[in-house]
Amino acid sequence: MNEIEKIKDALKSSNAEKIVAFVRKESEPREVLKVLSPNEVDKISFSPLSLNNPAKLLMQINGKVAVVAKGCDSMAIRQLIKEGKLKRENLFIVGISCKGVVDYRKLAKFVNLSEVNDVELNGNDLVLKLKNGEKRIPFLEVVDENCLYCGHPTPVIYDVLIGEPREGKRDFSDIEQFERLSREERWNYWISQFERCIRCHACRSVCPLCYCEECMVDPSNLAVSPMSTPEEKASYPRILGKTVNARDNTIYHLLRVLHHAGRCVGCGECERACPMELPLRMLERKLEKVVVEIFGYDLNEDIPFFSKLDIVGD
Amino acid sequence: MKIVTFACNWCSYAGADLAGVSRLKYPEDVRIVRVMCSGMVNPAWILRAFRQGADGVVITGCHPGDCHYMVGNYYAKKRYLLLKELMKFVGFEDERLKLLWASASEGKKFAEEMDSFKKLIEQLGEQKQLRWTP
Amino acid sequence: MSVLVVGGGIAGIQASLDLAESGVKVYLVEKLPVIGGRMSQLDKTFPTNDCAMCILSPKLNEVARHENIEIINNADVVALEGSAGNFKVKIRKRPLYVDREKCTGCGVCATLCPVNAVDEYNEGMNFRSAIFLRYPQAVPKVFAIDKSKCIGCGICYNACVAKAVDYNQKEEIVELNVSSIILAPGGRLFDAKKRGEYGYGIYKNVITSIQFERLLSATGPFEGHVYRSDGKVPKRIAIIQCVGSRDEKTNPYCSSVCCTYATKHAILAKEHIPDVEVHIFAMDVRTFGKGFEEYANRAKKEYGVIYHKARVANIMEKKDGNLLIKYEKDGHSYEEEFDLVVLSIGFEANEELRKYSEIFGIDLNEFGFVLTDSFAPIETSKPGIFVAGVASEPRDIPESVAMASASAAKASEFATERSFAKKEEFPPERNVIGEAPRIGVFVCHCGVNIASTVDVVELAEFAKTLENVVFADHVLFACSADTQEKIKRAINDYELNRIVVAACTPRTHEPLFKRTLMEVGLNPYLFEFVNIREQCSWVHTDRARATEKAKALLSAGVAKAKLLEPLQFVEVEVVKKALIIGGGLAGMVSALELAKQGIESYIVEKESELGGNLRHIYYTIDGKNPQEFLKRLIKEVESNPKIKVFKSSVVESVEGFVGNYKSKIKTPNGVEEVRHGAVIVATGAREYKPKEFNYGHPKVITQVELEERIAKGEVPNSVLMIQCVGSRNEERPYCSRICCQVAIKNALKIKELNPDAEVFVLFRDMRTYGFLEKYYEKASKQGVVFVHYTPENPPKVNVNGEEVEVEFYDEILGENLIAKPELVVLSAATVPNEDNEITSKLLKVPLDANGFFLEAHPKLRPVDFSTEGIFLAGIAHSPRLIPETISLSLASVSRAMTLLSKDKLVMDANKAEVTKERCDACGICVKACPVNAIEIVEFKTRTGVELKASVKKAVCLGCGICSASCPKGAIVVKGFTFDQIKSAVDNLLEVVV
Repeated sequence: MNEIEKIKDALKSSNAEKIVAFVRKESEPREVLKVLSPNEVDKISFSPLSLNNPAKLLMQINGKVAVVAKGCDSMAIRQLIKEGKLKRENLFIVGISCKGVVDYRKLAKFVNLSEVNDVELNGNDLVLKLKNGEKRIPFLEVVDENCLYCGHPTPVIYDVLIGEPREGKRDFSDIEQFERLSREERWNYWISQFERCIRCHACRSVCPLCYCEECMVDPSNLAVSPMSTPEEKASYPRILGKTVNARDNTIYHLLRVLHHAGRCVGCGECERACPMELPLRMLERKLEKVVVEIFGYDLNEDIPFFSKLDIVGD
Repeated sequence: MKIVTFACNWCSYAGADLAGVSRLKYPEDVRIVRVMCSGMVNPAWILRAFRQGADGVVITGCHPGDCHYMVGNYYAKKRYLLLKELMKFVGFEDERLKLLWASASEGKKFAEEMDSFKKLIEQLGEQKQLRWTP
Repeated sequence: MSVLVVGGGIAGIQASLDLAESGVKVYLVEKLPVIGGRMSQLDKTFPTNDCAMCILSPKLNEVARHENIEIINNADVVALEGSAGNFKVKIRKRPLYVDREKCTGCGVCATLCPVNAVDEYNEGMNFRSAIFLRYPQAVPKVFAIDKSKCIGCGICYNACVAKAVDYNQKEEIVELNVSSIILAPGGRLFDAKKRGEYGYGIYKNVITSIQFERLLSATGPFEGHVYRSDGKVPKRIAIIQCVGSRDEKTNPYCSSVCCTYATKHAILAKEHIPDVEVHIFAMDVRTFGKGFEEYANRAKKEYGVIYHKARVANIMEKKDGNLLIKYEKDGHSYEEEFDLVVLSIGFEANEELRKYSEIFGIDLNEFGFVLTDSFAPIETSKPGIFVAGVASEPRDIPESVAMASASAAKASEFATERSFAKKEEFPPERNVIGEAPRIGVFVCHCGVNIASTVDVVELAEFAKTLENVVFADHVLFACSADTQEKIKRAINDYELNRIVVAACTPRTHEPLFKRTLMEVGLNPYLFEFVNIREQCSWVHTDRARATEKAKALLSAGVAKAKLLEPLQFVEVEVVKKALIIGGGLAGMVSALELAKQGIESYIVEKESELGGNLRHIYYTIDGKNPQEFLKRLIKEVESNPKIKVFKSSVVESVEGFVGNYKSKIKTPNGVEEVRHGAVIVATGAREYKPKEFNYGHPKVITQVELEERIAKGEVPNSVLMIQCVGSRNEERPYCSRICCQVAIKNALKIKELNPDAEVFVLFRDMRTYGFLEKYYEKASKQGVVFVHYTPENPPKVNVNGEEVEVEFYDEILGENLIAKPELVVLSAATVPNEDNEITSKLLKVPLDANGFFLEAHPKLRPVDFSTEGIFLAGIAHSPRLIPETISLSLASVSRAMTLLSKDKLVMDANKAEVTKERCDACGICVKACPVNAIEIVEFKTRTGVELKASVKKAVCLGCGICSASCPKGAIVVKGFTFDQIKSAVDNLLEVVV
């Protein structure tokens, strides 16, 4: 039985009212997350193109739901359970030991995407089934960079596990390398990145952890004081002005990742969604490094990082 | 120069008061915001302060173990370290952010620390990295 | 009726606060012009090294502003008539030469005074002026003229803008009617000159421990730098113990606190001078209190402090000021050189006690301390007069504080009326919601204190330019009565709905202004204080820059004021009943005391009978009969209509919060549900069943088992006792405190019943603290043999069939000895109850590292938990003796009465609050809250049910850890909201210097 059949079987056994899984788009080699009813289980697909994180979608579904989850997806699910946003008993998790997913931007450099019918991972190669023929590319060349540092390729929470468990790594060499740059180099790098940010908030929209109804950086829709007039509310920025500029963009990103300390699951959705291709994961990973190295926090702990009392240093 | 100092009601604010009672001098640039506990200081306030043109920000609280609320200062230190590390990473002059334990009897320490912090900030010059200009 | 508290040290302060908080009017008489006592001189407090002033100063301010406390300072009691319930006291108020009502405490007078007088607060190590305030944080904050030093130059008189100096003030006699009296005058420190061999007063670099304390303090003579007389930083410090204690020639008793404070001094010396070497010379290291042994271990291991089990014979001074110390250790003499010697001086009976014993007609003991009974440790020999603190025996701060609370409980038995500030005094509150902010600003000159550095006129003009400010003025003294009238008039005339006062620190005067607002029907939380004195005019000299800064501070204050909301005090109805977990001595004493104060209680005892550990105590060291006492207690408890006892029962669940709990008790007759306003944890502890020394062999027993045998008449002919069994080791690092006493008690009993019996005691440090020392002396004199052992070379108990033999090393003889006693008696540790963990989870209160319950603060809140409404009594706190257990139990009642005496608890409104629209119940705040004040609850909405965080206002302390943890600003502390502080910060930065 191949992988996809195993996934389908597992989903069928779940008795869930809804299924959240990947479905292959018709005209492009893309897979998108869909909410399906149990009788649509045969529509599902799974491949290195199954990029997205289903956790955020799960929060919108009531009742028992079965979900296909990669390592990072399961991390997000568990984090959301920790934060009371999902209930374990409502979930049937088909965990998949993940070998990594494809970065479309990289793939597009090798092949015209519209010509790809299907992809398959074969050994160390990604086999592209093209309209006319086949093409093999070393998977390393097209894999999402984020997957290279993956700490949890095997789901951390599941009802059924598909595939052999894989070891994760803890590798902050890229962060350490960046840290060796001079302060000026670091600032110049980041300010040139943040300068490009258009504050479209796509990073926030896709992030499974950015589920706040109202973000700290946005103007407030809620009363500032009992005397606030509607105009006042509308014009009252909580932290930042409405205009886009490098300084405010910097603060936006710092504050956003700060809120992810000890929470970020490393799915890379933010970077994938960013139209300006900002290296957002680097910031998240820097904080992950701090959380691990200074605070010795383990994402597997039950207590949320921000709730945990840490006594560090003197 | 503008230095915003968040001071906890129980130790550091009292320490700053003692500096006053003892007539110890420190720079006018230091401006204190009273909070109930250093554990209450929101990193967003700090970023906001830098955005509004603060040249330095100090979080002051009770010494470890002395917190009026038992553990508030440990949380303060935790958030401070996170923010500081992150700021350092993006190349912000993180020396501009300081954490200081000052007790109610350390008026002199408070004044001295403010003095030396001001000197440090002066060496760095005006904070332009996050200052918002229209 | 009211209570007179004599002595304004920490004991008097705590007793006054407890009484005042439970509605009893208090007159607090202090002989000095200010309160604070010995604790105000301390730099840090053991065993946490907490800053003493940080924890004391809030209490001082609380006393100063409590409406039920009247401080009568610079005064003595001169006469007493009447009896319990109806005393008439005469008090002599000595003149301060400064009008208490007029003095604002600004201190200009002291800076101008030309006189240099010895500063008693700094133990004579520097100078103060003739018009002075003992220490900066002192309360009442009123200067006083020391007439013995004043030269009458008139400079202060002329300089005082408030016209407070009055050279002609006369002595006054005040007569008061009080129903009971608490005596808490503290102790006197031993005069080190009496131990001439140590050269104090002759050798410059021999100082006392209290002088060293001042040296260490940031407010001390050298601002926290430790220097010798010649300005040299000491590199080798010797600390000598028992100076004026455990000494036949001076005071034979042990002063109880010196070993631990010496440990503190050693640690602090190391922190001040990292490369310093500190040696402590002590006969025994008596770190017996909660956490003290661990503290001394840290001193040794982490700080490298060296302890010598030695007696110092004498000290000689060298030419360079260094000191040669001659001491004896293990039977040999040594000599070592140090550059500073600190004498750990002990406590003596306060010289005033003799006077008080005459005026009050109370008895003193052989050492001149107030005489008490071990079953009634708080009572003096005269009904209606109680004692707290060092007045009855040397003791440390937590014990004094506990005793102070206990004395408050006893004293309030006689105070039949209770009164609380009534809300009705104030006019109905004006509704300001919906009004645009109309802010009034008052800028204070504080005489010249602010006005000389900050241009207050310009500042008031500047205030007028700020948005929403409709009125601004400058006043000579913002705190004066006429300014309060001015503020009230302005509120009415200009329809002000926010008041900003730019003056001194909010830490002292905020309540005054809040009250002014309430007097004209404005919500007190619509007030903002801007500190332009302590944090501006007093710390700056450049007038222009200081004025600019003041503008920034004021602008921030006004911006915050704009966002202030009217807040309502949090009110909780109080169920006037208590749940007491545990029916031993502590539980029963608590229940009986509550009953005396009219409060019903439920005792839940897991065993089938009351009494706990007391059931196994047959005699006390001072010859009392605990079994009779126990019988009496049980009878009183069981016949008291206000006490309901559940035996063979356990508490199954506790729900609710301070003032209002609902608990389920599992009894043999099913589950009972009870409602109560407070909980007292009195679950006790038990004797350790040793794994060491072949315990289990019929000839190896514990002290409790020995006592049981002796009570049955089985008196052995020879006994060898081993101390510290199961205590002070790796598994249980703490000292069990009571075992040395128990060993001496049993040894003496054996000697009494069988004078020829041989009794050996193998010990590490004999910890017969306080007056127990005399029994140690007595035992030695009666031939009990004490042999020291070290943990590295412990005794061995060998079993040979029915026989046992003990092999131990004798340091004096330098060889191993073998004893074959009839019985080996192990002084086994006191260990925490095994159900502590369950109780801890049930009540959400913490345990310490050793498994005993952890109080809210080891120093000043020994019987409180950090969760309000739950208190701690007896040996569930830590091992202790009968009188200490009683003291702690009465203390927990006193603390509980601060709640249970009220119909409603009224709490400050600066509590956390959730903006539901922003909250998505992630629960980060719930787990971060140190007092478990936040829960996730279901809210019904139009579309269904939503989960949101919700704050139990009665539990919340308002620290705001939650608010900074919340990523969405959904939870804020009122008065310090996200937007309020953010606005303040914005405005602080807008005005450029």
